Amino acid sequence: MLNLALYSLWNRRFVASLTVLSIALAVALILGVERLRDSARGSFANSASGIDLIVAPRGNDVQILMATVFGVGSTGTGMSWDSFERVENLPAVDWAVPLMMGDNHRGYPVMGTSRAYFEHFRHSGGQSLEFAQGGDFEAADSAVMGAEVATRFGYGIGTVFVNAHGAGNVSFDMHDDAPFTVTGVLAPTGTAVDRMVFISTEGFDGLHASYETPAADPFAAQENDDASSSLGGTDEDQAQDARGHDDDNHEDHGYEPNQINAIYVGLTERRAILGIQRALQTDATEALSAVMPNVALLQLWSITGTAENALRLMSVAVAAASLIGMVVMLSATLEARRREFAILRSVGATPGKIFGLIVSEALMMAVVGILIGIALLLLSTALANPILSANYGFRMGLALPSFSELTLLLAVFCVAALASLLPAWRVYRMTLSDGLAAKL
Amino acid sequence: MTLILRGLSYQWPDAAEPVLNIPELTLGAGERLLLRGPSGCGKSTLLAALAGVIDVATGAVEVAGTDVASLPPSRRDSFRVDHIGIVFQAFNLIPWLSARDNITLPCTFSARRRGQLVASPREDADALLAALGLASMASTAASALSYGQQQRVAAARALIGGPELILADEPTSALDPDAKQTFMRLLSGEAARTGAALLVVSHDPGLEDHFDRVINMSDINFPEGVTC
Repeated sequence: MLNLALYSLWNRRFVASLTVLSIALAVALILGVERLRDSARGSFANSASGIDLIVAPRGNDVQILMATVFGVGSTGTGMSWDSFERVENLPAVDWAVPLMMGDNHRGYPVMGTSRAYFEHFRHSGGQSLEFAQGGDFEAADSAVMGAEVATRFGYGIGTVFVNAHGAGNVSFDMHDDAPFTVTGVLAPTGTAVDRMVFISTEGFDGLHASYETPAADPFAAQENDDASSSLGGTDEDQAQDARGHDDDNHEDHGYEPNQINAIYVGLTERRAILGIQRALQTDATEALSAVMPNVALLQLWSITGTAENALRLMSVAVAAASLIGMVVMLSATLEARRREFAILRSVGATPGKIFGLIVSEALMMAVVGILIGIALLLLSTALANPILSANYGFRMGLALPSFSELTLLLAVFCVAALASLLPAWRVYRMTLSDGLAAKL
Repeated sequence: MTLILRGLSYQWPDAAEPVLNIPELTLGAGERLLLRGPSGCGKSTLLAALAGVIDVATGAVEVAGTDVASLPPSRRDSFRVDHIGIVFQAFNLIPWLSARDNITLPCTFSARRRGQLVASPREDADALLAALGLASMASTAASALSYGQQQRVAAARALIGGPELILADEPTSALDPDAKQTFMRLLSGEAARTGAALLVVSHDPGLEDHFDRVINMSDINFPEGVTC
């Protein structure tokens, strides 16, 4: 019986293979959309997984998250170094890392930060950053490359490069007067870190010191230059301002910039989050937001959810179209196959068995379509991964279907089975009325 | 008796007159009967009645000791394949199956036919092909065979697994005169060998030599108002 269905399909292999192909494409699309979404979410969550709080000038949670963790967009205004020290000394704060943003290197975001970043940042469920080559900042003009940036441009230890002002990869405002030297390349993490260039806060300030304020007040610029060249004095002033600022901490910072854009905060106990949020919200000196990355991510997903649903709806529509195509193919050939059915009846096939023949043809096409679809998915994933990782800093898994994906595939299979009942029912009626005397 | 007809009458649902009215017809085991008559005399209807495809009165048709009309429709398909081999006028075979696969089809659907094989379906099919002079064609697709060869494959399919009755509806009408004789000789010979009763309806002249008995349709069928 199955042999008959198989031979019959083989006889119509051209149309049948087109039908199978369309089912395969639909399956690859359905699974692909789900995997893309899961991988993107997973990568985002991994990127932010080691940060308990992000403190930044008051603003939208999602915007702060995107700018600090993913280097997309900006946080708006800066915040003072005083605030950094205040946050660092709040109870239950384990570590704090300053972040400065706003430049890019050939389209990749440049982050100004301290050595503490490489020590404290955790991703993908608690993994720390590893250096593939070299190590930490050595001087003010040191830079550490994310894995993707280094591979893309072939950078290694000792490469000298310049940054551009602003975001985006086309910029006319190059910082060619302040080149940086690569001292370290990070191992791949599969997160946004791979797409970032890290320089020290000192180096970052060095880029902008010359034109931070000149438009408004040329004399202020002069003062600013003086300030950044005579660091010692500034440091002492700030040390006096900050309450509980001891000498050990002072050593850790080394350079203390005037303005930073955000702070990553790690806590000794996560329960302290709400207290800290309240403390910062009621802080009278500067308007700050304390963002919980996971909460901001949820907000982000609720925004992107609509687009995801639209994509999912599209892929379901494509699947429906391909199954309708299968029904069309099966139905269109029924007339031409009347004689075949009459012969089968004359050798003992009941109308029920001919019904079953049509259903098994449909199920075979569905199964083969699903298998080819999975193969297509894996193939296109392998092909798309370099592009995804270059542009978005994440890769899709090359795994076989998971349980939930199998449920989706089962749904496709069941709908195919249901859809095949229509032509099968027509055949059943036809064979009953034709008997053995179908005319050609 | 392999086949007994008693008072068989049939009228198509939209027809004014019955097309069949046969008081009596019998066919013994292994007997070969040619039923002659021009088109439109109810020959095909008679075969449909024998094969259980149309509904007739209970008791009118008995094949191999079973009253076909009393079987529920769902049982008739399996009864037909168990006891009757059928050869059509033309287009008998599934074109994309090989000659051998066409022949073994009844064994797929009938456990009884399978049980009566000498060896495996494949070997029995090959033996029949050899007896019909088609030994080299076993793996050829049916669509690549000539009409004469196709009809012989159809005959082999009707014969495989030893059904009691072979029904053939104008089996030679698409063949040239030489092929007609060859085909009838082979079919008749194989039926005699397997012991199947053979009922052929045909209006082809010159086939009489291959049969035990020849009956004109008009001698047994008396539909009112119709003359054949």
